[in-house]
Amino acid sequence: MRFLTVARAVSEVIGAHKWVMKFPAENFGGDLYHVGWSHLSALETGFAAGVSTKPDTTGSMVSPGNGHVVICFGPKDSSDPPVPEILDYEQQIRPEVERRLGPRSALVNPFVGTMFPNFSMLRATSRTFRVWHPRGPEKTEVWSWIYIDKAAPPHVKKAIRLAGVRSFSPAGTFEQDDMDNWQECTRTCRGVVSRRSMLNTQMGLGHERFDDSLRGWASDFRMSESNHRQFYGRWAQLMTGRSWAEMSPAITSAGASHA
Amino acid sequence: MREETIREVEQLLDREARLLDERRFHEWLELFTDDVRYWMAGRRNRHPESSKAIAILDLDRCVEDDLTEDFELAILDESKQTLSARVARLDTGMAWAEDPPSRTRHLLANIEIEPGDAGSEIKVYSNFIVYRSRSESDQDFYVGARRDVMRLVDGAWKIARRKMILDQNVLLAKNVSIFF
Repeated sequence: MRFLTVARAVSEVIGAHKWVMKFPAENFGGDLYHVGWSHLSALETGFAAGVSTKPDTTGSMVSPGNGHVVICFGPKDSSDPPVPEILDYEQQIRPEVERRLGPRSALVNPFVGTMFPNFSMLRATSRTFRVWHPRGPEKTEVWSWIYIDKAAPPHVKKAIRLAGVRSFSPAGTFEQDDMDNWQECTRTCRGVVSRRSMLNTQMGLGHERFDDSLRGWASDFRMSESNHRQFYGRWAQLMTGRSWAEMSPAITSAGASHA
Repeated sequence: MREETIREVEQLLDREARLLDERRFHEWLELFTDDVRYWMAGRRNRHPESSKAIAILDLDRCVEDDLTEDFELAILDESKQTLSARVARLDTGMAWAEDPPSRTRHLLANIEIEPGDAGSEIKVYSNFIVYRSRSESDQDFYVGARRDVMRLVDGAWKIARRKMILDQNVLLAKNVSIFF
């Protein structure tokens, strides 16, 4: 995966942060539309460089099936940390990364995703992965780490660590606002009236296709709930209680993806 | 340590707490030197080496200290520049974790002063309880210790380093959107 843009396929990991929050797995796999509003304060005060919020940003929701979901920018758009040391280093190791991962890695710029059901990775302004531990109704405990190219020089490692701490962590200038949103969303859903309502995840319905070059389901437009449908479609399938044999192969048919 | 210095430092810490509780963050920033490192660590959950509850296979790799180390993930690890950017972010009117704002009360105790490593510096130890309430009924307690280095700059004490220890392993608040 291009998430791990490391020189020698070896990463080291520093961590961990542990704290308590709610429904993040969906957020990391499909919720692109919250960025330009939830995180505008951090974007406007220099905590991210070139995170694309402009109208002509390219990108796509991509799912290889089985409920795994990733949000991708197009190859020319990015969401990097505002730190020259990191950007220079990743530019420098780019040829080696492409040689190792192959030409497909140039098709899209994946920056956040969830491996079904509760493991997520994020490159936007940070280099982090996390496990979302369910801790009972309305509660999730986060274990979060930062991954670093083991071959990187010490000043780059330090820069990656600080970029992560300052943006995506309990006190991160991006993530502290997420926790507030998610808590309020959860509270809103407790009410009798909201419990009677169906959750609407129809955005971009019918505007997704199986992309042969990406070998996954891809939305036509970067804002779409196609990944939500893949994620919850897989969840609904697993909830039917059938055997593993009956639930294979992966969801790659249009019908299942619209479940 | 001179009585006068002790009084000055106590007054500075009390004033700082009031500035934070009154959300006067621009004035608060002026209390720090330009080279400050503002750092908050969490604590690990560890058995002591002597514990009979566990079998330690490799004593060389056993770390008894439960404090996050300097090169590890801290809860906050800030420079003057990023602290200023955090304050600027609060000013955008779109920093949702603080909108509506937290109500905080910073309580300090156990203030102790020692000579510093450089002639113009002193070490200042203190403990804190920070109460935060927000929205209608949310509340959190952040309890821990500060290890400050203060430096005399143009006749006034400024905070040149703040190392904070938060006495929790899993952070029990949903986030850290306030200053300490």
